[in-house]
Amino acid sequence: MAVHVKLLAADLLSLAVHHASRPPSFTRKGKPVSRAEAVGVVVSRERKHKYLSFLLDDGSGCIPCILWLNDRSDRERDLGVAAEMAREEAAAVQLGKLVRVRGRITAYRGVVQITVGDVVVERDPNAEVLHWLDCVRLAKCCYDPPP
Amino acid sequence: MEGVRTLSISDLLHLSRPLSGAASLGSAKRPRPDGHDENPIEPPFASSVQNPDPGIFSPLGHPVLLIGTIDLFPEDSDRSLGCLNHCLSFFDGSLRICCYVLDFELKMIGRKIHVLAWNFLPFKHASGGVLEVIQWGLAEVETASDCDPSLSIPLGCSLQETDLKARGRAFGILRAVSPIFRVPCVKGNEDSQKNSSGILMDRGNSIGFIAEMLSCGCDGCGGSRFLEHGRHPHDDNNRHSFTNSVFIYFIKPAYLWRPVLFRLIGKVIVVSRLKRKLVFVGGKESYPTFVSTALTMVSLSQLPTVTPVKTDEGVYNGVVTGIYMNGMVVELDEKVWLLITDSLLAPQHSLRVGAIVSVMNYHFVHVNYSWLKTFLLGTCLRTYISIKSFSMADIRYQFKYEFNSLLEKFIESLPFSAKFWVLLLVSCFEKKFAGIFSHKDILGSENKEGLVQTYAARCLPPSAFQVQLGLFMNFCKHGQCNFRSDLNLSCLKLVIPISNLTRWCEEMWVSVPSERHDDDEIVRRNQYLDHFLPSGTSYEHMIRRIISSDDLGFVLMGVFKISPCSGRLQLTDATGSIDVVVPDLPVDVDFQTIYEVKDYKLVMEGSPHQVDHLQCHFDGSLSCRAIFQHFSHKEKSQLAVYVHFYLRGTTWSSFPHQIPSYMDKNHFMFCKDDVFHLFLVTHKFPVHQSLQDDLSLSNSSGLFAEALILPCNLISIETYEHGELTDVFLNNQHKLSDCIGELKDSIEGWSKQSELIQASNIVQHSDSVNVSREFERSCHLRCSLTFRSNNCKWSQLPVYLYNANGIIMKDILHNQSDSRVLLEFGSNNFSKYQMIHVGSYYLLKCSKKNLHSKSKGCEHMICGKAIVISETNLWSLSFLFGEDKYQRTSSGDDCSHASVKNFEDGPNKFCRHEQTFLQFIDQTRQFSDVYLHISTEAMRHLEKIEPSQQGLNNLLLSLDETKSVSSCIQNMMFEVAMPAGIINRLKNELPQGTQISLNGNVENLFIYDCRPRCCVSSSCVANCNQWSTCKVCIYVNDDYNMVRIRGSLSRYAYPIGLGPGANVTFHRVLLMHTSSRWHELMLTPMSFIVVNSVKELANQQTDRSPIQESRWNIQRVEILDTISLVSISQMLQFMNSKPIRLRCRVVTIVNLVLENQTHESVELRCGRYFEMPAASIPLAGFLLDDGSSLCYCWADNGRAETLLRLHETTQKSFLTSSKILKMSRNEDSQRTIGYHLHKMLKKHHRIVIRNHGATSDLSCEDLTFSIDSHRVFSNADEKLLRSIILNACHASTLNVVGNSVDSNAFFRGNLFCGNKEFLEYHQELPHLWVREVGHVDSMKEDTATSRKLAFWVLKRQLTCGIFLAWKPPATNIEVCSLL
Repeated sequence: MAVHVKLLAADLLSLAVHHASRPPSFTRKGKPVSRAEAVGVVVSRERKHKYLSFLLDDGSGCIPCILWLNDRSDRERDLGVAAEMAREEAAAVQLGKLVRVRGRITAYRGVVQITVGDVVVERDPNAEVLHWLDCVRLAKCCYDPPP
Repeated sequence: MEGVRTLSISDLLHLSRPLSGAASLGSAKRPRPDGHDENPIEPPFASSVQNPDPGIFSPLGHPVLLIGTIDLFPEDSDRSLGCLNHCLSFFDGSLRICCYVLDFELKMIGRKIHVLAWNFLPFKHASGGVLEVIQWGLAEVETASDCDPSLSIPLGCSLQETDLKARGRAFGILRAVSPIFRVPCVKGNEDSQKNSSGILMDRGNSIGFIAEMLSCGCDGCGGSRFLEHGRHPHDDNNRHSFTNSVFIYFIKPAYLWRPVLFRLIGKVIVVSRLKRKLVFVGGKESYPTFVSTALTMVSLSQLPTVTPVKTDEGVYNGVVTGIYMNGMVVELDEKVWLLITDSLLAPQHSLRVGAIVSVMNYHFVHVNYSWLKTFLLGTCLRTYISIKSFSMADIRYQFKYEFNSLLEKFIESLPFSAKFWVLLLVSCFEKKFAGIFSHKDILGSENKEGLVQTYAARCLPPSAFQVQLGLFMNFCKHGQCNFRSDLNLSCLKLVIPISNLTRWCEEMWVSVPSERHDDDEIVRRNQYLDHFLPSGTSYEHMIRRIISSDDLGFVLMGVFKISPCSGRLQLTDATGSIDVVVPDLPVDVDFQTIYEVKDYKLVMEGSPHQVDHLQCHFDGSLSCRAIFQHFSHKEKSQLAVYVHFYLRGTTWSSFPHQIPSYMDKNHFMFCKDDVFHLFLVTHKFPVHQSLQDDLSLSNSSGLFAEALILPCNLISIETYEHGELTDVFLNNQHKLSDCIGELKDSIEGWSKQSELIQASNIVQHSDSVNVSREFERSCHLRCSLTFRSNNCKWSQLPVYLYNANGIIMKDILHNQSDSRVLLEFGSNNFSKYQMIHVGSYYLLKCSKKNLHSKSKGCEHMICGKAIVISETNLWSLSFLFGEDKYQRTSSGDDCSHASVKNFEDGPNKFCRHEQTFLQFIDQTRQFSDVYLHISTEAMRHLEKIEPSQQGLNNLLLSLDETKSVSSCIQNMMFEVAMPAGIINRLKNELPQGTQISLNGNVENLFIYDCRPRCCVSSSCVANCNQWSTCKVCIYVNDDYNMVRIRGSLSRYAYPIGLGPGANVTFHRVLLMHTSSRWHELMLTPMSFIVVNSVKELANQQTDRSPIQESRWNIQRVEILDTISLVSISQMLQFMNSKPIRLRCRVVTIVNLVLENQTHESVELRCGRYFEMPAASIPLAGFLLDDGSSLCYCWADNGRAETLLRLHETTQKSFLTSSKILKMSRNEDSQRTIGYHLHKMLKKHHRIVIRNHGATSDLSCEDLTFSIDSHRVFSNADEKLLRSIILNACHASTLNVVGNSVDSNAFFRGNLFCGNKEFLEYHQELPHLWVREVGHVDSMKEDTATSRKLAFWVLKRQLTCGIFLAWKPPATNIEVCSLL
């Protein structure tokens, strides 16, 4: 299921990584997860030609994120629209900004990270609190196995 | 008196106009010294003010003097009884005229006086006039004898006989004087015609009047008080106590003293030389009474201390402000009503509007009718009405003297409050039925009761009728006569003239509290609403008020009429008409009968500002003055007023012209040879031309209805058994004869159903039964026909339901075109056209003549020819299946016990604010003229042929399904998703589409382009007759969705009540094969609108539910908040129930249909507030993710725009694509995405985008684009669209409200043809139909979620005892959470 699970950093970084499969798969309390959504403050940012990597601090930990700028630049298929948008988004990700990130869960050198699909800069600081609450709520009613 | 001219009576009469004059004038001109003013006549009149108003007295410019003698009228004068009661005579030596003296003194009688100030009023219809003496003086010097004036019969005027018995004397205060009356004398012989005083009476009549004195009961007067030779009362003036009532009968010739005695009321007088009598009344009571003799003398007492006494009831002094009903009703001070039922009581000449009168001995009555509370001054024989000041206006009324008619006697017999009501009733009836009935019909005559009396007698409670006392008793028993204060007449209602009713409605409308003006502002500020109004439309907030008759104090009465200019049914009287809605009106309604409507609902529609300008003219249309006066209400109100009632709740009295309005048994009994066709009305075509137009030019009335002729006819038993008709039918069954061979085969099958033949009980064991006839009989069914007759009884008649063609019901459905006929209504049968309802069954009589005349069968059945409904009888019919228990064995049951339908259910249950018109098919059944009863037994056999009950009841439904708004939108969805597209490219082409019938609630109605241009608002249109067609735009909703219907509407097709708050069925509107921003339907010339119900609209703002708001695309967080948040993973639990809310993000699109924003015939006002959207989105499918699961959601228009973030995206500039566009940095490259999108859609009309990405990677890379044009779809176009879509997928969290829908429905509808792989991949996902999209207010969501979690944590704490405190670094907020 390609649902973007809402997880706090502490939870996300403690996902079980299954390297047996290629690419590696992830499980949380036995349930597979592939995509995640996180909200946090950008505390580190590194822009390269092909990607932007940044750290997202949501209070429970820092999530490494990578936004590929040329990964989907298959101009044959989407006329470079996605790449253009990725560049726009990369420009918007600045230190100290509260951002919402969605993407695939991947692992790089054994560390869980998010390969960003889209980044949205949140203007309302309450969005972060709401994300925490959502994480708790969803964990309780949806992700956790029934007691 | 220098310069004062003397006028004679002949001078006054010569001028014959109201004049006033005085002997001394402050500003009088000096007479000219040249002596030219010697002429006694010319100069004064020449210089008198030429008053243009003949109703006002002209003052003479010169001092004038009248000299004459004031006296009583002689016995031989030809004066009327009215004059003899009140008038003195003024005699100037040549002529004698009536005279009324303001400051009357007894000494002036018989003396020559100078009239110093006066008015003269000539009589209108007779010679002579009345002189009103304001100031006077004796012509001669007073002598000693003048100090003791008296009244006596002049010598020579009566017999010089001295009656020694006439020794009685009465001394006391004159309390009351009756009018002069005649008493019939029953004794026949000559001797007895002489009364005791020897005066010969009139032939059989005694004429006179009675006076009551309060005589003294003091010791001094004591025993000798009635004796002529007793102590003179003047001797002792200190001890008198006037307490004892004494009656004196002033008989001829002393009756002529009445004007004098009348003026002496309240004074102490002495009447001497009387004769004592004992009067027995009714053989039981006796009254000691004095009778006047020829020697009787009246003189004033010289007692100086006695002042005029106060009577028991007090005195009312007031200004006459109106005189109505031939002087029977006098309005005083605009608030009190003086009821003068005996016109002899008042001085008629001087009782004019403007005079100040004094009333004594009256009965004060507080009137409390249901609509009116006022005060009455009732009069009786003792009442004293005198003039205190003369009026200077000649506004007088013809007083009636004779009481002959039954009505007047009837009025006399009633207590005051009832009397007043009847007088109001007379006034109302005279106004209402002027020209309809003769005056005699309304008021009756000496021998015959009129309408008023018949009606009043029925309305008045029995207690209102009282025993009539004789005249003498009436006079003596003051305080009891005609006076019943305990009588409760609050049940009496006003039979309101319709003009007064219309006016009253306006008054009510204006008096509505002004709170609504504020609401109006709110609506006006609604930018969205403003935007969608067509240009040139002024929007008005409509209010509808429904008032129940229980809250009104009046009943309606009138005859039905179809208005020639609006085509609507009206209740009409001579004063005006009012539109009515009568759900149970029979087709053959009687337009002659007068209906009295007691139980009704009054509906008013309009804008709150509409009649404001009239406010200053209101004077109370229900006031007595407005009812008595001639009240004309000519100005046409813009307020739409109509009345809703049931005919069965009305009554009609035994008025002339009454004709039974229901089906008569005779219709059947005398038409033995006739058959009755059965048909179902499937559609009515609206009227487009004026009925006033010359119809002869067009050969057609233009009144058409479409019907489905059932293959069954009704024949009476006798007809069938006669057999002849069967043969006729058989011969006429051309179909039958053509395929007789085929039938032979089928007959074998039929004949096996012997049960049917037996059960239907119609087999005629004839030897010559041929094959065809056998077939015929097998299709017969014995039933009974129940119908109401005019006397409200139910009758029953056995009939056969005769299958004419051997076609069974299901064949009709398969082959409708054969059975469909056109009904044409003759131009004089407009009423029948109006009365028939779509979806009702009707019986049409077809005479035998028609059958014989055409060899091909009944002429009604000829295909392709319209059945002309002219004089043919039509009855509405309902089927009753198998209700054996209701079958009556005998006819003549009272309809109150009629069990044909339980009338208590349904129609009578008015909701408080909802008025039901009851034009629904199932409900109109309750009001059928006839009922066809098919017994269970017969049914059982019939159902072997076909499922008849279901078939008959659902026939219409299966033919013409009425859709709800939501299902209509679903239909539109299916159509717009078709790959080929259905846009109407050429605007010149006729609109194309499918006809549907739609039912919904009217949200709003806008009128624009009214021709001729005279109306701008719906309420104005509803009541205005100046327009012929107008373009309307109607917004129709069900609870959740809304469609727009627009098109032209003829005035004759505009139904009563169409407007906001109405539930309406639109028959045969066109589902346009083009779509724009809104779902849209079109009215065609075929479309017929039926208003099913209306509801009260007091405050439109509060009336809207949150979901209804969403239809205006207003994103209101507070509205979204009211709906509970649900996770997608929980959605399946909420399938097809209440709306749910998701907080989610768009993952990708599934489907997107973009269309050019069309403006076709509706020019939208590109408003100051609102940017036009670049595209119209009839459908968009999205994949949503809320962290728990994924779901599909489907949205259109505004909702789709929000999900696509089109408002934001279109504002962005499309600079980045400049390279691809291969454009230099010109103006275009600076434009926004919205601009380019609009331009692109203009080129391609319509673009359908589908996502085929059936992989787990939810990218937007597998998009396909299909366009509706042959133009090149460039890379720039594609990139633009991709960037729009990608932008949508990169949005933040949104609040989405909608209903969970069954996914199977989407697949069935072939909605996603060509895109199935995507859906099939995620087939298990739920679907949501989006109704509202809004942004997330994180703060509010925080609160709500944390509350929910806190509760959960608390619960968990209690159970597990685990608690973690955790402080996030980014904020200082402490969140208790459980990880």
